[in-house]
Amino acid sequence: MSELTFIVESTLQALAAGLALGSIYGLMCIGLAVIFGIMRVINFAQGEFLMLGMYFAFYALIGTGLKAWIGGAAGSYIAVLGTAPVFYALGMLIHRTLMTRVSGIKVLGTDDEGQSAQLVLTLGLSLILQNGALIVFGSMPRGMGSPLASAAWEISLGDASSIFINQARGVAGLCAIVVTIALAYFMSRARLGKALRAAADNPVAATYMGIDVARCHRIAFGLGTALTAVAGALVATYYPLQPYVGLEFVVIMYAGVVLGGMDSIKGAFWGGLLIGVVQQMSALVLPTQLQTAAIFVIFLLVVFFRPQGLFGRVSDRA
Amino acid sequence: MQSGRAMLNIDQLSVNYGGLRALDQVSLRVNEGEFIAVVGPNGAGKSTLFKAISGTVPAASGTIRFDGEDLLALPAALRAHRGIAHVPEGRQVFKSLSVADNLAMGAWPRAPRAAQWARTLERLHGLFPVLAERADQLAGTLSGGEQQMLAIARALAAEPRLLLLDEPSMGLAPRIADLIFDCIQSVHRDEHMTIVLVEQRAVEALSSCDRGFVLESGRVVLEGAQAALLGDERVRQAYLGR
Repeated sequence: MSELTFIVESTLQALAAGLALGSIYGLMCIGLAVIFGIMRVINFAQGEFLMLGMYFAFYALIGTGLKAWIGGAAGSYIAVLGTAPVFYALGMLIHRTLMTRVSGIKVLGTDDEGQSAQLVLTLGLSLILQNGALIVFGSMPRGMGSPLASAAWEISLGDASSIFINQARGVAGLCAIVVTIALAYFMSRARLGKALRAAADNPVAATYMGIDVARCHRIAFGLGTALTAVAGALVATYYPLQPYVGLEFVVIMYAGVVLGGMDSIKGAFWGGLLIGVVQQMSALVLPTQLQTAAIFVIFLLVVFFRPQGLFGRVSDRA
Repeated sequence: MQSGRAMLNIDQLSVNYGGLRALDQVSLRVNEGEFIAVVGPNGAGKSTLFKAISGTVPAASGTIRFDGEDLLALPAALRAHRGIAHVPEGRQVFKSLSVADNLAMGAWPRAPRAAQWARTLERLHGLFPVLAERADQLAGTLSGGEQQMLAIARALAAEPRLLLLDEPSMGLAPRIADLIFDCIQSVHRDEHMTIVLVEQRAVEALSSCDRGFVLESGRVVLEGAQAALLGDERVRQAYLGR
C-alpha cells in the first residue's frame, strides 16, 4: 500500500466516523437550541437530561427483560424509542413545576429578563440530577452491551483498502438524521411548529393571535428535553454510562449551538456535525488528548470571524 | 348601525402601569358594526386601553364585557378566540416568519380548512395585493408600510368580530398612511366590521368614524358622535389645529 492510499484511506475513515458521531452531536445540540430558541432560556441541566436518557435506555433494555426477549440489538432501539415520550412528559412536568416560575411572558421587560433566576434554577437542577444519579445508579460505569457496538460495516475502496464504520454509531447517526429532518419539517410546515416560532419571535403579538405562549414554552421544553434524551439513549448504545457522563457532552452541546448561531435549530445540527468531524479528523494529526482542544480552536475561529454563528442572523433584539 | 347591540362594554376601568395610573375610571361602549375613534395625546392611555382589552396589562378595577362575557376573567390568549383581533402599535409582525406564515398565525383561533383558508387568503390579497407578491418573503424584510398592511391582514385572517387598531399610521409616509386608512374604511363599509381605532392623526380618525372618544391623562374627557366632536371648539383647537 502506497503512502498516498494510506493517507486517503485514513482521512476517509476519520470523515466517516466524524459524520456518524457528528450527527449524534447535532441531535443533542438541537435539544438545547429548541429550548433556547423558543424560550430564551439557557438550560444548564441539558447534559443531565442526556445522562438520564442514557440510563433510561439502559434500564429499559436490561431491567425489563427486553434484552433477553428480543436481543440486544433490536431491544436497544426499542428502548431508544421509548425515551422520547417519557422525556417529553418529564420536560413538560419540569416546565410546569419549575421553569414557569422563572421564565415566560412575565419576565419580559424585567431587569435581566429572569436570566439569573434561570441560571440558578437550571444549574441547581443539574447538580441535583447528577448527585441523585450517583446515589440511585452508583458510580460504576455500565454499558448496554449492544452487539452492534462491537461490529463494523466494511466499505471497500478498491485495491485492498477499505474503511470501517462501527454499526452502533452508524445506526445512531442515521437515527439522529431522521429525527432532525422530522423536527425541521415539523417546525417549518406544521401549524403548531409555526406557532412555536411565532411565540419565540414575538410573545406579545402571539398572545394577540390567541396563541398560548406558556403552552408553547411547555411544548418547547418537552421537545428539547426529549431530543437530547433520545440523543443520549443513542449514545448509550455504544458508550459507557456513569452519572457524570453529561459533563463530557454538555461542552460539545454549548459549542455546537454557539457555532450554529444561538437562534437556529438547523444551525445547531450543523454545529454539532462540524464538531464531530473536527474531533475525528484532528485525531489524524493530533494526540487524542488534544481532540477537545481542536474543537475549541475551530470554535474560537468561528466566534472571532462570525460572532453570530454560522447560521445566525445579526440579532435585532439588542 | 348607531343603535346596534352593545358588543364591547367597558365600565369604570382603571389600570396602573409602571407605577402610574394609566387609565382612570374609563367607561366606553362599542356597538355592533360601529367605527369608533379614540384620539388623544401621547401617553393618554390609548394603547393601555387596548392592552387591557387584550389582557396583556392587568386591570386594577372596573369591568370589560364582550358580548356580555367578563373578559377580565378570561386568560389573554383566549380573548382572540372570542373574536377580538388586536393590531398592536408598531406593527409587531413575526419578523422571522414568512408573510404567508404570519397570515396563517393570524388565523390561529379559527384553524381553517384548506378551502376556507384559500378564500380568506384571496380576500386578504385583494385588500393588500402586495402581500400576495411577497408571500414567501420574511416579514422582517418588508417596508414599514408593507408590515402595517401585513399586521392588519394578519388580524383580519382571524375573521374577527371586533378589530382593534393601534396607531396604524405611525411612522408611515402620508401617502401610505392614506392608503391604509382607505383600506380600514373599506373593511368597515363592505364587511360591516366593528372597529376601534386609536390614532394620533385625529383629522383622519375622526372623519372616518361614527363616534369618537377623547382620552387625556387616562380619562375620557369628551365623547360623542362624529359631527359633534368635529364641531367641538376644544377638539378643533387641540387636535385639528384650526
